[in-house]
Amino acid sequence: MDEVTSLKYATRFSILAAVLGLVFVISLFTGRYSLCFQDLLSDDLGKYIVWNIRLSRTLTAALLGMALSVSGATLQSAFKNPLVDPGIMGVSQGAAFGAAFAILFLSNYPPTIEISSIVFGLLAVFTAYTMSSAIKYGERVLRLVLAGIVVSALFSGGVGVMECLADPLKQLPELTFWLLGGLSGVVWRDFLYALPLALGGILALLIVRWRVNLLTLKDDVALSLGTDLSKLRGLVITASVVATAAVTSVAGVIGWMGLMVPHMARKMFGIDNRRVIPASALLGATLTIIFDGIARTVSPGEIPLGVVTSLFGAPLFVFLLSRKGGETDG
Amino acid sequence: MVKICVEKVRYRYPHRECDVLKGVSLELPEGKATALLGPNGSGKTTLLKVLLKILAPQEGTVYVDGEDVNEFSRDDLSKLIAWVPQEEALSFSYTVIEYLLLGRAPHLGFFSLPTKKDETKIIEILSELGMLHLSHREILSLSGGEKRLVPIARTLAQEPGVLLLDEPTAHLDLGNKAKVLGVIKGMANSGKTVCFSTHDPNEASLIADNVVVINGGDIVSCGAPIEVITKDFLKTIYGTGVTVIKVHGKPMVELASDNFSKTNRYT
Repeated sequence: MDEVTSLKYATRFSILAAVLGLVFVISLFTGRYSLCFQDLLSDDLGKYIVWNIRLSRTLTAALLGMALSVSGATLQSAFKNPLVDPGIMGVSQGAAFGAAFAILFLSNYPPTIEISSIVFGLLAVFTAYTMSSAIKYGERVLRLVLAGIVVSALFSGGVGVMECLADPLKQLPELTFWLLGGLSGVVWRDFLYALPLALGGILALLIVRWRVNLLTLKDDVALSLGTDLSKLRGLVITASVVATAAVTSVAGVIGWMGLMVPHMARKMFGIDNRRVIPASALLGATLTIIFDGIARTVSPGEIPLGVVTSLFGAPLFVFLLSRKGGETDG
Repeated sequence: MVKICVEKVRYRYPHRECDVLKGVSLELPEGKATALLGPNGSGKTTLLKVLLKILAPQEGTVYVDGEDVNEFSRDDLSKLIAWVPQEEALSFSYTVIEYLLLGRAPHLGFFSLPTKKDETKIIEILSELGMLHLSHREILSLSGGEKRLVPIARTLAQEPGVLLLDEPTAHLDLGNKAKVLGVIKGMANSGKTVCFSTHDPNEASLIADNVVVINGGDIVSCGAPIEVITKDFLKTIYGTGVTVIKVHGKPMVELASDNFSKTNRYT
């Protein structure tokens, strides 16, 4: 890369990092209880709100955005398909089923819901992976996508059954809010539950980000370049799924981020995953903090984050696709 | 220089009723260009993929420098053999330099990123090929000929001893064909063992030191172009009349005009 291009990308990364920092700080002082910086020193309630509610929530929003966007960018490369998102292997619906199962049959205790959603998220991926071997149609990648669709549909049906069985007064509201996705009520404990797995997944993907490019090539070319496809694909899919399941267990099903943010990153940084994956992390964190800010401030009652990401994400995605650059036409 | 030998290789695709390769034995001479010539469906691409260990034959062995190819790890093999497929539909449009850097993968650790040194190497390759002006262009915005040269340039970044190419000049105009063939010949001249498949006997005659004719999964002839590319032999293989003339001592083939007589009808 020549120096001008390097400088251009370095400037863009610096701007993204600065915007993330700014949005993060603004988020701490934004909400129904209005605060300014001095309140942190003088106002005990303000201090409590920032340290015990908003900081954990903003950090969780950043982690959520990073995990979904980095996983989305990686999976789009791993499946050679720019329309893939982290739900492709059934992980979102599997996690949703797990949470619904816990709410109905285990306990409403948050750690139980989180563990159950991680377990079922991973189970969905394992099922999709196993099922793909039984499909006798298309190449490996297509078989995985098809199996993912089937598993998603099965778990989605399972969630529907849970909704029918749920107590309409006690369980259904909680279930519905979880399925729509959101960060209301997120506290430090939730953040710390999700952090190790989500961060582990994100870091693993950041480390192998250049190798992820090899998965976008034809399989025979990638093999000829010394790539152990099963190992690399297995590693990046596992890391993506673990990161996604970890944040989904805390925030519920949040759509669009994993699909839209990588496209945005490619518009700004080209196709190379050396830049796309870290840029997706920064953009995903920034946008999720902004969307969560909107979710908790624009109406008297909180709007589920998943609703906000859909409302903003869908039109933004169309806008991105209508502009030149990025992926191939087909 | 790297030598490749194939011994009695039999290959059948899963769920197929007959073998695509029927006990093929072959030797690719070191530092020479070998053309795999044959009609559609004769087994050329399958043979190349067997050489590359992408397909595992049911019988027979491929030897690389005297050692069974199965003894090589995928990583080690990629340092020795490079591959250019017939078509490489990219899902994402990398710039030329980003794509060529992927050719450095065999020489980098699993967790490493390409360094300035790797980028310098790519710049040198692009300069040698007269493609430096394309380095920051997206591959999908290139012309057909340029697109064909990019994967060949990627193999140079790989620094292999053997280069396998599947119909490298398919769908190219004359100018681009000449350019691609020139690069391939240059690679053989620089000591690399080159093997390319083609439907065109003239391409084989122009740049190959050795021509291997494959038909119906068997090798039916092998030798210098002047020995292999003959009128009667080509008629047997392709089932159509041809004229073979010598240009600068090399056999050149054209379709015989009686294939297109006025009495011909669509029926």
